[in-house]
Amino acid sequence: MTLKVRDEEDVLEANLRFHVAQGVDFFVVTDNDSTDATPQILDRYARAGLVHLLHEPSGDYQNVHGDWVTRMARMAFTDFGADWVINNDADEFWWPVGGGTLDAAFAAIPDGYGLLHAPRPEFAGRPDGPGDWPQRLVFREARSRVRHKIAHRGAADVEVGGGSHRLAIKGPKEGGTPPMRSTKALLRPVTEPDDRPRDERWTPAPRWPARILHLPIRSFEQYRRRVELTVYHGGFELRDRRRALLEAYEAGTLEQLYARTVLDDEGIERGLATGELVQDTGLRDFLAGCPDPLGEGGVQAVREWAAASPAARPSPERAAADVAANELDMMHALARNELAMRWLRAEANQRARRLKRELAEARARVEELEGEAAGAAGRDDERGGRGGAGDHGRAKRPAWRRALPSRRSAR
Amino acid sequence: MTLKVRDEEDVLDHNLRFHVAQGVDFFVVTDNGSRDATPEILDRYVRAGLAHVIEEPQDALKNRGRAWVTRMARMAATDFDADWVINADADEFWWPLGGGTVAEALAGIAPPYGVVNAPRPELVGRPDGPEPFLERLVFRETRSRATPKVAHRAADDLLVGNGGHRLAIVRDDKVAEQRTPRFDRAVLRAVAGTGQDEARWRLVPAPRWPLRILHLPLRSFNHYRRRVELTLFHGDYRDRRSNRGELLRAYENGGLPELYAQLVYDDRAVEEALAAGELVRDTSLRDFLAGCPDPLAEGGMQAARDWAAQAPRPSREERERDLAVQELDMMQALVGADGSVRRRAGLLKRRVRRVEGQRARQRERARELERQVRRLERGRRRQERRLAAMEATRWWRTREAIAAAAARVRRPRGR
Repeated sequence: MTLKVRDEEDVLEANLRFHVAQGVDFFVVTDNDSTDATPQILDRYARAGLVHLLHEPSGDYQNVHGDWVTRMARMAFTDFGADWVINNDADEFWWPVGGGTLDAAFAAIPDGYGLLHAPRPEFAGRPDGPGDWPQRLVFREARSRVRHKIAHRGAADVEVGGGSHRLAIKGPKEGGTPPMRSTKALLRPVTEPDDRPRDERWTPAPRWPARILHLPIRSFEQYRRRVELTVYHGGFELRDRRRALLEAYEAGTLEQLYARTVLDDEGIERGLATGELVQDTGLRDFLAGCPDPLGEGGVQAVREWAAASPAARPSPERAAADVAANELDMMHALARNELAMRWLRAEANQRARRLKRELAEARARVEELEGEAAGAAGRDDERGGRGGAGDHGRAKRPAWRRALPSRRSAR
Repeated sequence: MTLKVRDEEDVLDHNLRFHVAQGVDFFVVTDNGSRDATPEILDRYVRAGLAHVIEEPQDALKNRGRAWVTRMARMAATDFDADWVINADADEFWWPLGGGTVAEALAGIAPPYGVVNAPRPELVGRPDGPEPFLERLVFRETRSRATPKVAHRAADDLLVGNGGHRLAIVRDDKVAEQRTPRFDRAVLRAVAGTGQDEARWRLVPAPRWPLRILHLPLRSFNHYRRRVELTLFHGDYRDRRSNRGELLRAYENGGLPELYAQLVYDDRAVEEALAAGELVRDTSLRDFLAGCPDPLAEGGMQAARDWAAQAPRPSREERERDLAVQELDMMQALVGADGSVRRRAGLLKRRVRRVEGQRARQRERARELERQVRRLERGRRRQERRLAAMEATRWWRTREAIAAAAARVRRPRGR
């Protein structure tokens, strides 16, 4: 698993412990300048030989984090022999759906499939109160609304696209016809063939045995820190909403924003009633029982505990229902993704058309002006271009000269 | 099932017979000006109450094709009470994997799902011979290379895109407006305001792929020539650049047989492709159609379906193997299709940038010219003002007298 972290002290230990118990063997971590207890947490795991730590103090997170992830993902394979790589954030927990543990879910993916999509439903943020976030955050979206993420088989040349939502699958670079044949059969012999093979290593698996439990809002303290990181340290352009966020931060109205971000009891009840939220105590219960892998029994003891935990052994009906729910969520997410891409494409198309029209208009205007300029210059020439200075200025000459009988005709 | 047809006499009856036996109840057909026996074949089915035909004889396939399919798909829902709609072409046969019929496969789709993607491998073309094409076309691509197509639950408000390919079902405009899927960060949400509810999804693609489309686009040279003529002269494809232009030249220079020879697989090519694993022998369609009775004959539709129900089924292992292969094929096809969309989006982006550059240059040029024109106009006005000022002088008003005096003075001297 790869992680890029920045000031994650409230969630990082739980994340590492959880994933070790789920069968993750090793973590490659990029620490982006944490100033809280994050380094100590990582150090403990590094000393136990479970974490390889990279430091990236750059504040230009926005522009370079994709490179960090790609580097870690490759390293996981080349230096640490990973068979599968999950590119993760500290607030994301990969939950095995339908029982068992995460490593078993990955092991069950047939050869030929190199990519696993996982939907990413969010746990509703809750007002601060007694108890740490695992106790308070027990309601999640029934249907994920943000983009899914992916895990992939280890490879030295993998390229992880923005935010680990997809792999940048290298195909023919510029202008090539796609490797799929979109042409009609009858046009095939007169169409430039595309013989470049598709990279079929990254075929997504047709089953979805994992759900990413996403907990982005855990406490006001953590929220404020994320806002600070976003507006001061991310290298983001501060426009629109980020600008509004900055203004709220500086005006000291962040608490009101937070209150609107979290769901109070009434909001939870409404969400449950409409079916938008479901109660999910799986993570809470798991973390409450899961021993520290750096404790006495070590990694092995933790895995044995996990394999025997109630989470790993749901009733067959519950398991089947959960698998079906996750599958539906995933198909929704994929369809939505596809539609969003279509929108983007349609927008780009529209933009291209509009630009073309504007270009034509600009060209017509240029032509018109060129004509006008030539005309104006012509009139000017007529008036001023006769040469030979007289007693009067250039401007007078042509008109009154024409009025006088010329010398020649006078003769 | 909806069909858009034009001169399909060699394959249409097979198609209708096949799909009736597979449990398709009714066909909505748009006939785009067929001139062969297509109308007669359709008439038979219309008289039997199995088909509704819409005539669209004008050469407008390129621009109207999509609207025709959408109209048929909606009509299937509103007028003919379909539960599922397959938007097919005459050369596409929807084959149920895992035994059973197409109708059973669709009935087995769980309720929350409304779309079934189907990969579309080709039964490759073979050189002409004495046998009918069904006897000759018995080798199928192992991996489909064309974009998948979809079947969908009937609805009266959807748009079917580009020939029913892919997830080509577009939502109605109302839904498209509520576009913002929440692709953003939780920290930004509170400042984003509300109204981000995503579109309601009625047509979610199913995570199972129980259908395969057997595609037979190349059946004989005569058929090929006819299709070339249609695409060149009757599809309203004005774009004759690139490949259509080349096709036109080949057509005019008698080069079509040569092109056709490049398209079909001769025996050696078939053997090589089989050895390389690119083709598999697939006689299922041939065998099915050889035995399948005419639903308009004595026993009627029921007899055809009864026959299909007891047609030999693959063994359990064969079925599972077939489904596993199909699953892999489908997932790869979706990746390929996705990749091609991304590439096209990339191309589009570059084109936008290029045009933006051109537009900026042209606008700069226009501004420059405007400045120039203004400068010249200013000069002209200045001159006109001076002229007017001069014309107002006394000297100007007496110029004729001066001219006459000057003439008088000159004349004597001239002599």
